Amino acid sequence: MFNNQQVLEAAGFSKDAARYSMFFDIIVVVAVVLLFGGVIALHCQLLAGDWDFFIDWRDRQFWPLIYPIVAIMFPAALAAVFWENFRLPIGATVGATLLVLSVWLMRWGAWHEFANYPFSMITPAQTVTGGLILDGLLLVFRNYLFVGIFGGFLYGFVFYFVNYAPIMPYYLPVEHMGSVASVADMIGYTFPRSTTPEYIRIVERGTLRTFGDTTVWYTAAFSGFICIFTYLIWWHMGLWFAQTTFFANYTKVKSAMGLKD
Amino acid sequence: MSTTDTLPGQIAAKAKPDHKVNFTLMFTAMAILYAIFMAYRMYLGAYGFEAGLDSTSPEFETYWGNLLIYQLPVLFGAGIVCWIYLIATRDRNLAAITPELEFKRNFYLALWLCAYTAAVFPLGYAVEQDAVWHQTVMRDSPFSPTHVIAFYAMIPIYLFFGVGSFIYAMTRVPEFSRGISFMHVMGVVGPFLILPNVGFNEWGHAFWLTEEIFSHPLHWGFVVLGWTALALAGVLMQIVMRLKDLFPVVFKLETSK
Repeated sequence: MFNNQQVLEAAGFSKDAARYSMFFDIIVVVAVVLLFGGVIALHCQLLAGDWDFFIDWRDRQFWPLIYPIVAIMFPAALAAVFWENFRLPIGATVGATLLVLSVWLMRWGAWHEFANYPFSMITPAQTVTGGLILDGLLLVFRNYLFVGIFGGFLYGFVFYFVNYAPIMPYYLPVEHMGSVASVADMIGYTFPRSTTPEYIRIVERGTLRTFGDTTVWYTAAFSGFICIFTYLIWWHMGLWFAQTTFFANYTKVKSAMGLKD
Repeated sequence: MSTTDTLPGQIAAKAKPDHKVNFTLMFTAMAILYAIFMAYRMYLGAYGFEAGLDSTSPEFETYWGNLLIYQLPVLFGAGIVCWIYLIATRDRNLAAITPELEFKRNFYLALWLCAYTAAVFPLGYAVEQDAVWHQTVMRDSPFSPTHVIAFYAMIPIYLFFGVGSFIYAMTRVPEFSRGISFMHVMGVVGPFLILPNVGFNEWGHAFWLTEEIFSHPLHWGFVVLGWTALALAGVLMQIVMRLKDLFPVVFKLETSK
């Protein structure tokens, strides 16, 4: 079924060498999953968590703007590391998928199991579609600047729309004390988040409540615009962090290990 | 390559291969690590809301005050003992190391880094757990139950592996002893600085109880320092570059059929 033997012969690898090569790949995969799963989730919760923790906080002005800008950073850096060093167009998808998986785990374990928040209220947003767009464009065009301009824009632009299905039911109107509210509003009014002050219980207000549908298109376009620059900057951040620079060590330290100049 | 091209160390390696890596070490370390994390999570589930709401209460002192007081010397002490052991048992003749041994030690360094990353992941979880706490309960102490776990247990545990990986590399892997890996320094010092940054965070929260804004600027220090974890990609690249040279040398004798 597989042509493993031919591949090994072409690479000049013995079975033992191939086994060690595979073990090293496994180590790298485990390290990437655990490190970036944890760090990307930490990064997003501390920079954009307030717009994503709860379903009723996902307004149409800031959530589709801030979350994708924050969530494109590590995928862009990973894309640079995988592409420049291994010619693998998978980094953005890996980063976006790790973010979703980690946040799902944390929403389940920390929010639902520990503090009994209903899961329908805390489902995480997903950015995997954006990651696939970035990697797909990188695979086809093989140019990070092109991917940054077009893929970066699409990453931010599609975010709201690919996440629309899970939040759609919460826009349904309900009557509450003689006024029209949304299901999301009702969650904000009634669910006890004891440290959340009154003033943010109505997330969307003013003209946003009336003209939210058009606002969302402008927000998506603005988000895409910022994501272009975020992607390009973080691509270079990824390359900078993947450098293999060694500085000269102190002679005394080296001599302690039996090394001479 | 014919056998006449081989080095004396390689012939000895064929007679008694010393490039064999004991991978069970990694699985054992990870199993122990995650058993500890699960124990912390279960403890929080059992005594978080039960005994952690009022920092002036006797039960808070029993379950959270005592945990804080005992875990700090144990976790930091374990790290210090391990780091001293690594320095004391260092290779004092790295210049004479065989390619097989160097190959093996590069693998062990990768395993150290893998364990480090395994210890970093629960920090992300613990911080999310802390967000839950702050969205649910008004803090009355910087030593809240979620802080006792996130800051004073998770950070010492990943420092154990982070600093350990650096000392291991410096004392046993020639490439990392001849030169100081800039990215290894970044990848260890950056996450380490999260611990003193807790001081800035708690200093700010002493006045601003911004529970409703988790993305508050007081938390951005954690974010920027968390970015330095990306530097471990550079360390892995350094190992990859060295293994690329060592693979043909270590396995050439076994390649010919």
